[in-house]
Amino acid sequence: MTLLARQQQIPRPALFWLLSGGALSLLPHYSHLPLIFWLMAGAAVLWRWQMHLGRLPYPGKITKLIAVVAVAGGVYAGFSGQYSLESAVAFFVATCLLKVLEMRTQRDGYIVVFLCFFLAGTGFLFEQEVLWGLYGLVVIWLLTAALVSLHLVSRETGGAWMASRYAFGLLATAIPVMLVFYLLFPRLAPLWSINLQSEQARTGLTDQMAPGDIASLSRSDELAFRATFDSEQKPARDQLYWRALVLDRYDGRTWRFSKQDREVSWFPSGETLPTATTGVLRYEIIQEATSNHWLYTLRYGMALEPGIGVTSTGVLVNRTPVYQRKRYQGLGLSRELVSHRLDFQQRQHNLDLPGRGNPRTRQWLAGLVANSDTPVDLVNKLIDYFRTQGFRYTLKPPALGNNDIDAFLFDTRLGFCAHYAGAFVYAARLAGIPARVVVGYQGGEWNDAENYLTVRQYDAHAWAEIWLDGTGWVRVDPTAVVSPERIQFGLEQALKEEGSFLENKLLSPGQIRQIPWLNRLRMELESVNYLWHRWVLSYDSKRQKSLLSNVLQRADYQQLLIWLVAAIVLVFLVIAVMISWQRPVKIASPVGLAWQRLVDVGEQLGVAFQMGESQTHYLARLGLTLGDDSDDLSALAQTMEQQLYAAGGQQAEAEKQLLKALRQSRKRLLRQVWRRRYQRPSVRT
Amino acid sequence: MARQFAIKRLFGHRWQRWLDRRLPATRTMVLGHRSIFIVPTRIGLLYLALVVLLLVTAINYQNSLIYGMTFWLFSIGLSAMYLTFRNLKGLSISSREAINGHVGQVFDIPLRLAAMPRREHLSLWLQYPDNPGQQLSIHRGESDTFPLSYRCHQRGYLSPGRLLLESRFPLGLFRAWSWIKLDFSTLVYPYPEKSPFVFRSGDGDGELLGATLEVRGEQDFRGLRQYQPGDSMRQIAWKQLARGKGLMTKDFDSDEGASCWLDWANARGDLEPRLSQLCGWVLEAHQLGWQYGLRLPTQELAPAHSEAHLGACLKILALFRLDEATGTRR
Repeated sequence: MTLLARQQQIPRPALFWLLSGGALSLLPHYSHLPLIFWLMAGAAVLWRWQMHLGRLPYPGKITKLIAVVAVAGGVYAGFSGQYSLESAVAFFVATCLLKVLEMRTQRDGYIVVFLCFFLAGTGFLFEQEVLWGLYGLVVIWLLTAALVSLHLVSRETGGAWMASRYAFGLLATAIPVMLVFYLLFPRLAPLWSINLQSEQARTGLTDQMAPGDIASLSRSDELAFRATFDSEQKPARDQLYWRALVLDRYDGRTWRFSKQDREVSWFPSGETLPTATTGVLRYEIIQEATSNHWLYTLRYGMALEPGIGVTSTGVLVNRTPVYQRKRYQGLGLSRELVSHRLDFQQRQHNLDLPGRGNPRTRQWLAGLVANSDTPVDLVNKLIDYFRTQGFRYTLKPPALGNNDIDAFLFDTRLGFCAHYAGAFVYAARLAGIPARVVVGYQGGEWNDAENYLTVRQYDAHAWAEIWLDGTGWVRVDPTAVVSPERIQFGLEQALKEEGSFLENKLLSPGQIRQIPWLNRLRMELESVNYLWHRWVLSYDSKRQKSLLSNVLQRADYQQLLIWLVAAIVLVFLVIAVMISWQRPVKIASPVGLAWQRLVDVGEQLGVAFQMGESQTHYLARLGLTLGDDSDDLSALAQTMEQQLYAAGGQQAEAEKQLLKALRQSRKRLLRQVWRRRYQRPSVRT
Repeated sequence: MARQFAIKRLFGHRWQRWLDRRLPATRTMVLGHRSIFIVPTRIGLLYLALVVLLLVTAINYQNSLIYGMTFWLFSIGLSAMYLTFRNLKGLSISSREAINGHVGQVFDIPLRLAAMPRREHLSLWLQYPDNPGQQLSIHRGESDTFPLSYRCHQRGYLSPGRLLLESRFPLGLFRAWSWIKLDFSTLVYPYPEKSPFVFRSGDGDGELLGATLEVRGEQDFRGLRQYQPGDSMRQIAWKQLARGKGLMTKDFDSDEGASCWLDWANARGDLEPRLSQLCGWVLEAHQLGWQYGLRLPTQELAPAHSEAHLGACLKILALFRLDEATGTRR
């Protein structure tokens, strides 16, 4: 409003919307804000509400200073001074809180609403599921209501609800334009790459594996990725080995990823797509952010999209770290379709072990090698050992000291997949068979309604690949013989007796699964979420192109922009038409129309036709303004009366006369208008 | 707002001329697309900055939901432009007559605002420049009359100049406004200056006849008669009115109390001070119950004493040497 009004207090109904909208816009940040923030937020909102009720005074300068120091201290304490996205957001939240506390005028109200809008927006960086999407709608609605209520005079009754209704209507009418922009606005590449989440917040595979590493992953039911297969293919569970990383360097404790002899051939590599249908799996993956380069591959991968490459170990990698959910096509080729090579250097690399350690294992293997004819024979003996010597699959293996492989193979015999894979590869290498550890995911959960596979972090798995001359790399999974349930039914079944599956979660898919109807509900929600991911969250430039090329034949950015501009122009045209749309006066006849046109000119002369005024009266008033030129108008009034009381047979004639008179008078009046416009006025109404 | 007025002054003359051509003065004005101006406010620009910031965030994090939210807010902003406009459109504002008064006093100018049957106009701000404004709302199909303050500095017909009517509803992103010029037939009399009477013997009628300054204008009481419009308020039989006997006038033997001429020639100073003095004298003489006449260079009114006479004198003073047509000095 005015300077004066801008300093006016926030209207009373507005405060409710401001505080509730602000509080709710904070909620999506629950996962990364330290507890102290929630205390501060609660305190700020309550304090402000108490001020509103008049129980507490506005904070003075000193109080504000203390609050600033307290909040800054809170941010520093919560994040121990390190800079990351979370700490930046936390700092931002803190400023919002302080603003909420001291908001007083309408202008402060605007600032708070805008800050909260941004806060709600950044909330989508952390939470993107369907329910959060719906939640975001509610928050935007509340904040819009807050904006509207800032403009309502406090005196008005029912102002609060009116604001919310109004905001709802506003949001609803804004949807079409929003959709046009959403679909047509060119999706650009990121301007600069930012790692969204700090390392601590990330659960997932890492590029090294010590015994027990993957066991910690198994406590998380976070989504790793979802996969759909082409043409209704549904591979059996024991085929679902999702390869992510190949670890081939061992330092006596940990298996690591090494860059040695890793060549990446980026798409397009010039390779032709296999024509065979057997042994080829086509799938599409929507992968959650990992902050790493690797992608997931069934069997031996093939890069099908720009920015993706395939390494010499047959796994897919992304050119940039996957900081955002990524959607890509994949191709899994069975062993027969891939040409395997292993030159001398690579062979040495895949046989390399520390020179010392685990004496019992070395001794045992020396015996085995002496008794085996072929590498296959030896591998079978190793597998048999795992099967027959009372090994158990457990999430809670005892700690192992030095010579851990010795202790595992001969003493504890309790381990998780990482133990089995690590020990097996170690043994194979000792026996002179090139071998490596592969980590990734095994299995997943089928959703039958939408026919896709959900793979979660607890599906993480490690297994071995060995090189057999003449055949190539062959997958061997020692876990499968120790615990067939792990492969056939998943981790939950495998750990049923131990009961350690997701045991420290209060409510998890595992617990829910026991109750049929809850499980059905969970699957339904999962399906919705999947569709949401597939059609909303992963709508990127590629999707956009394919969608538009279906609709508009060919679509490049230029075309997109043209369409977008056209859409904007259309919106403005619609607005312009609505603006200049005068509600037509109900006109029954040409006489009425002619009269209306005359009145329009009369209004330009400053004589408005008033409600409830008779036409003769109006003409008389008009005559007064014109002074000496009014004879014509009184004549016109007469003609009108004649037409009104004309006898039955002469009606048409009278009407014609009247129309003529009306038009003539209008012309005369127009002349007056022009004359007045360019001359000094001489007569007063 | 302050900026508004500044801009107005900057382009003062031309702006006024253009406005006068576009929105001539009327008794009733219905706001339409010719008379409503609209621009984004500072808050609106801030909002645009917010949208751009969200867009950058969306692009950078490739986040579909933030994209959606960005475009939604943008779309809301576009709708707000139209809605802000619509909030004024179709509102009719017409002048009602204020009570006549003097220069220098604050007039409560009654304005009648009426909404169309299915339109509402919320959070309107009405203000005459340099006067206090007021905020009000008109609901669907309602109409109401509001007093708007205006301190008048010019005698003649009340012409408060252009009235600012603005609204930022619903979101404050845009400001729609109109400068409305309304006509009034309200009279503004000169400032009544209190000064001692000066009766200079001129042509035999410059002095005070029949009474001294202290003499009251009522002589012998004759009786009561029905009140006639124009009777002096001082002669109304208030007791009888209070007893519920209706309006009666006390009739006196001779209504001719003191009689005098208030003469332009006896006042001092330029035009305006003279008129102020005369105005003060007229009021004073009326108060004292004298018969008073008014003599100006161009016209004169014979001595009389009645409310109608008072009104006539004041009107002459108010419009003296003003353009009859416009009530303003050119």
